[in-house]
Amino acid sequence: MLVAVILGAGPIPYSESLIEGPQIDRWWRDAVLMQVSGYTLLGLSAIGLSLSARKRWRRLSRYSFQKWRLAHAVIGALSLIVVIAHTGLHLGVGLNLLLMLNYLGLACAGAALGYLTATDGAVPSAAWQRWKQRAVSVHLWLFWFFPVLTAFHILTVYWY
Amino acid sequence: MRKKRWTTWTSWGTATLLSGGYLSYALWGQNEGLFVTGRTSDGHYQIELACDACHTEPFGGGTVLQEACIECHGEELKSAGDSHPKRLFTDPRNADRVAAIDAKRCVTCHQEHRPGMTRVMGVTVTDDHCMLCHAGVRKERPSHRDFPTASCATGGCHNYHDNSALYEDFLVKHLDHAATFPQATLPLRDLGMVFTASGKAPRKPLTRSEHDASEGLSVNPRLITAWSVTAHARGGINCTDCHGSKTAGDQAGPWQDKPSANACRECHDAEHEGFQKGKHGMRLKQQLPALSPEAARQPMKRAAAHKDLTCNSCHRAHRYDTKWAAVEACTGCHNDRHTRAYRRSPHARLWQREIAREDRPGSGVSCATCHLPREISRRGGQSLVRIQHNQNQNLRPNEKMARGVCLTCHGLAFTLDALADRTLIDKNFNGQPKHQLRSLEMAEERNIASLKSWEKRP
Repeated sequence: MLVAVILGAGPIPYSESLIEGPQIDRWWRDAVLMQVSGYTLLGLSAIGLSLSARKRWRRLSRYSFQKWRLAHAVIGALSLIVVIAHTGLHLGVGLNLLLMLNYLGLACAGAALGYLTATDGAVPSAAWQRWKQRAVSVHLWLFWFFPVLTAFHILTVYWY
Repeated sequence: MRKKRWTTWTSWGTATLLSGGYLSYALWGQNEGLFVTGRTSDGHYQIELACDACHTEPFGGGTVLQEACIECHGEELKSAGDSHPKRLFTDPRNADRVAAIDAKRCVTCHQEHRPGMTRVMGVTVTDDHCMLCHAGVRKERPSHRDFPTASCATGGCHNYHDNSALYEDFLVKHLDHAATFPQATLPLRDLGMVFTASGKAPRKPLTRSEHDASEGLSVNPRLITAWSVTAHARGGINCTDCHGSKTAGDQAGPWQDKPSANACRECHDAEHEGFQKGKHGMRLKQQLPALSPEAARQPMKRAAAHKDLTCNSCHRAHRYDTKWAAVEACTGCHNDRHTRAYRRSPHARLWQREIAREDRPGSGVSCATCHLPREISRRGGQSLVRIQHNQNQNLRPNEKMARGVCLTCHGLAFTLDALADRTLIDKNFNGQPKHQLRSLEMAEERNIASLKSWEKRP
């Protein structure tokens, strides 16, 4: 739903006054606030990766996979809210647009996977399993490009 | 299973290396357009892909950007007597104002690549930004009590940088002037005088038979005829002066059929510099291909879409007809309402009378009169008139045109009223301004009040 809002709602207009009104657009106008939200996103993404680390590092196996997965989903949803603060729903152009679409694609695939998992019956059907596998594959494939796009996004912010 | 895992990791690594490699290649100058974060402003879109025009050093931050702004715009701000220079905000007494808005840096108010918040003149702050520092103006000036907070920069009132035609003493000095001065005349150009004053030795005028185009070349005789009636021939400028690049010993080099602008720059350095600073030539300054009308954001004629904008676009090689350059060159490309309305304007009627020799030289008003204004400098007791080829210098805010152009023929009140009337501008001043600005009236009231308070002093 959040992804649909981000894609469909259009950019939040910039405020028409510097002395009146809430001026929430400062979050995506002010360089310092954008760095705060940007690095928060980066941190959330890194924490979200712990689900993958859990599979490979025994020390993280303390809690059940279901609880890790729930935490991963909550972090994903939270990061979409931070994306709104970071961009003001401006999708951007060029590299920024690629990164945004990649992030939203990850969220979409993750949400689909969550839905499929949640609605999976006590006896999982083969069709449901196939769709789940596809959602996992899309989620992972999209993530392949996320580190490079994010790295260059951060690099070019300071480069230029 | 292990093989599948190895394949997956290898594929991921390959994809990362390939995408990272391409982005690195793009970043090192091969496709920097990928990293543009938003549509560039009207002032800079022509050089959008010359990133290092502004981002001169990587990781340079705000300092580098500030230097880039000053590199192109600093001289103009200085000559206008900038009302908000940087030194105002480095003064510790204004520290509270700087805390409200960091006006030491150009990019605070002129942020590039932000199409959603970019207003005219590339301003990216709201119209009420003046209130951040001048919130008390409604108390200090009762006359301003009812003005909306976003109205400071309304035409004829205040400009952030250039108030040379709007400051109070200037308004008071120009009260009660007629709308139009009878027998007003523009300063006349004489480039020969400029060259003599700058130490260039005068040359003997040349006739048609004295051209030095090589006999081995098949030169169109009409081109020789065209040259022979120009100021170039009268000034002793022969074919090889433009078509042959000079060697160290000042001898003509190999013949060039189409000499570059460097040939023009040799004598017309000031005009060349101005041209490259303006919208017409700014791409050339960044070593980009010349602008063509199809790339312009202004409405342009389709027939002119693919022309390249160089010196000869307006001046036409060999004829160098400045009268043609003053109007026809402009109307040949520009297709906006203001340009289309020129032919029906009172200015155009004056121009037609001048070129038909029915009125005195300097009485006509061409496109160039306003947009490529004459600038007078003094050297050795002489007044020298040159044409400013930076058409952007007095364009926006348009009050910048008042002192150098409009006030030659018109009173200040009429000038400001006309410049503030968008509809009249679109009709190319064919008519009268609809509204009268209160600027001069308010300046007069304040002046009178000030004089009275002086009189009351013991």
